[in-house]
Amino acid sequence: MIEVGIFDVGATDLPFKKTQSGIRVLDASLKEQQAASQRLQQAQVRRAVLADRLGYDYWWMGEHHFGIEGAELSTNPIQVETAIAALTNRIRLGQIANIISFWHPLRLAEQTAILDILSDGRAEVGVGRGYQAREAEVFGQVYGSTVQDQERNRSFHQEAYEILIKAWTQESFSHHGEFFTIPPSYTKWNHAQTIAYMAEEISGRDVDDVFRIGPPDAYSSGPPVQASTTTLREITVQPQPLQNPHPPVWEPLNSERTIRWAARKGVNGNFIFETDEALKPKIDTYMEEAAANDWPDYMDRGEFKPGWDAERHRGVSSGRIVHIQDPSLTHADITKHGESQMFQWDFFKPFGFAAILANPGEAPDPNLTITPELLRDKGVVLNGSKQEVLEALLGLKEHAYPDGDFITNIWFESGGLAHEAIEEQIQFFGEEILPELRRECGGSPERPVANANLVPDYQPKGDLQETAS
Amino acid sequence: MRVGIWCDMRNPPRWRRPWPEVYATTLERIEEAERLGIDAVWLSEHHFFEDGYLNQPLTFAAAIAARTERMRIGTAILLAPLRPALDIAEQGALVDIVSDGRLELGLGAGYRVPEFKAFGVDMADRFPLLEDRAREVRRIWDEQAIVPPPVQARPGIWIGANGKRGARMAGRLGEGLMWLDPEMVAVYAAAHAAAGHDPATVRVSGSVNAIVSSDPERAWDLIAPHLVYQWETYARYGAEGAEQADNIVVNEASALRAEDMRSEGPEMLMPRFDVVTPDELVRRMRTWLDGLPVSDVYLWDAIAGMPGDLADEHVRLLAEEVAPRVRDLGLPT
Repeated sequence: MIEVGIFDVGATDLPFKKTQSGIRVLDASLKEQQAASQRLQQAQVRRAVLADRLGYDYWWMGEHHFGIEGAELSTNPIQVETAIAALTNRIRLGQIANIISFWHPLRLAEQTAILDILSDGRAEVGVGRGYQAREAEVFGQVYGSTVQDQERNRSFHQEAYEILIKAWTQESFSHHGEFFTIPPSYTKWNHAQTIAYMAEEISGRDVDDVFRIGPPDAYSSGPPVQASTTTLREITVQPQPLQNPHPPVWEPLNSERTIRWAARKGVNGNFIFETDEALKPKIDTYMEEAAANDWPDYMDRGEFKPGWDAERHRGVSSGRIVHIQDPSLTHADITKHGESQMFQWDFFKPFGFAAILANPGEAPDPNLTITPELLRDKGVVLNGSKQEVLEALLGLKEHAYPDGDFITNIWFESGGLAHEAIEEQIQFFGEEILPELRRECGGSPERPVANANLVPDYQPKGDLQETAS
Repeated sequence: MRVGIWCDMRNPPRWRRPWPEVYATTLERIEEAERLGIDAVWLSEHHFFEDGYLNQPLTFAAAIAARTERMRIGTAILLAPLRPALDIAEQGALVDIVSDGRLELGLGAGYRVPEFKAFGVDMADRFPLLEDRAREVRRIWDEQAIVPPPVQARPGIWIGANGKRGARMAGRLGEGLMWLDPEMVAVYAAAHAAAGHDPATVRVSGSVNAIVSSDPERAWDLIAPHLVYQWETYARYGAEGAEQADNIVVNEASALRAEDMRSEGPEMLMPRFDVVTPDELVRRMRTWLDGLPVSDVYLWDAIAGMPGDLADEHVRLLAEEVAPRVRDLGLPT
């Protein structure tokens, strides 16, 4: 079986230019960037609705903030996907990834639950640690997370993830950790109604589970809720997700450490654009670690097929950047796409992403010189005719997913390309390449039609209603 | 180009006539149309419509073949995925033999869930299946793999799928494109050339959504309820079984009024429609189709049970006052 998603971090449609130093920068003012960012929000929704109508399996968005270089304008995948949920029927909606260190984990729990409910159970939730200090330190200041101290970052991530799961799955809970005490020990809640509810059998909790009942306090004043020494021990997060016990969780994977962590935790993984050759040993590492730990899984589904198991929805996904050239496409331009990729890499390379392009046996080199030809030769950018792109994707399957099912995400957008150009690519791939991939790979899982019951029956009357009755 | 009529055999409950009468009068109208000079008759296909929308076009085509002598007899369209290619090839060959070489085979992908369910075909495959069927029917006919083969060495095959996907498919296959969108013609021609087919075989066809009348405003009032019925059944049956979720976008069509369906064109493509004088139709067709490699256009003979006299007048005006003034458009036929 095969599943195909789209990965979209929201590159700008503004033009860029090459400076004297060779770095490509946006040829636009900060004010023009604001307009581009506004256009992008709508463009991403349109692309997702198009993808749903064409039958793609997933729509993934990224989360990044304060970017003025133009590479990634998508700041809030959960919010935008909630709009998409109301406009789509089948496509699953995922975030690669919500940067857990930028959120209060309880907010993340609530908002992902709302997405899951309003999409009728179509949420996939990616949780990342972050790597860009500009956004991480600004948000981290409030929550105590950071990317400038990796061990602290990992500790925060671990704890926030734990809290997320508790909030999603437990009826009433507390958390006592390094970064969060939920609720804080000093939280006053002398609310007669809450106490009375907990005293009733139907609540399922005892008063002593939820409260430390104390005497009135001579030094507290004000409303009865606070004029007391009674404090709260537990809270309940509502709503919880529709999917049972919670939406599938994904981690962006790169280093061996993160691969093994994800396998041990029983969460799915996402590889951004490793080459065919580099991907296989990384997938093997994930499977090895899962097997060595007796197939950890939050739903206890046990062993799963190598690489990806479409029925169990378990494993790791891959990614490819695609630009198809075909006489029927008005906007396709491989040269322009190649330059656009150079613009994207001017942003990503300083973070060390070039190291990902190393094949087994090659030393990972963050200073690798990136050219369109290199990206094409490495097989991470697939540009060419329909047949060439199709064969390259089948090659990825053969190399990295030979024995199980196949899952991959296509990255269509790229800086400086018009939104129409991207929609055209999505449509062509969906109409011409996706059906062929499905024929070659034994089809895709059937997607149930979502019905979140969001629209009332009332409709304004037209002639068609008169006839129908 | 040729000017034809399109018979869907609708007989709505509200205006129900006995079935044998419907078929008998339609055959008479087709014969009369041929006598008046109409060049072709086209048949389409749906299943399970309450108004008896024609469900087996090639069967009715054989009856028309026996009652006519000159006009082309075509499907616009036959639902290709629902049948084996051999079945289509054999039935088509029989129509071609009974008509002595007048078959045009228009094929489509389909879109109605209950139709696919009833024939046990997976709807998700419908576009690849359409392409497979077209390719296979052509192969069977080219290789004379059936006995008897069609009379025509190369009966026309048409791909009736809209958008760039349909245009690319028709071009790839080297067959005709049954969709009169000028923008798609360029896509079709490019794909046709890219696949190495002879440019002389590029051809398009399609429906002109209009009824001709000497008094369009009077005719509009009489036709409007039938038009609304036609559109409402298309919408209702099109959505049937499709498990539409309650998305906010789905409900746009609900407030449509009959007047909203009127369009000034000039491209009278689905879902546009109008009732016009012969002069006006000629004007629109010349504006729309000038320069396109169109070999065939066709208009409904009637809208969902509309009064027979209006339908007869429409066919007569089409034959006598429209066709002679537009035949020079497009390809010589």
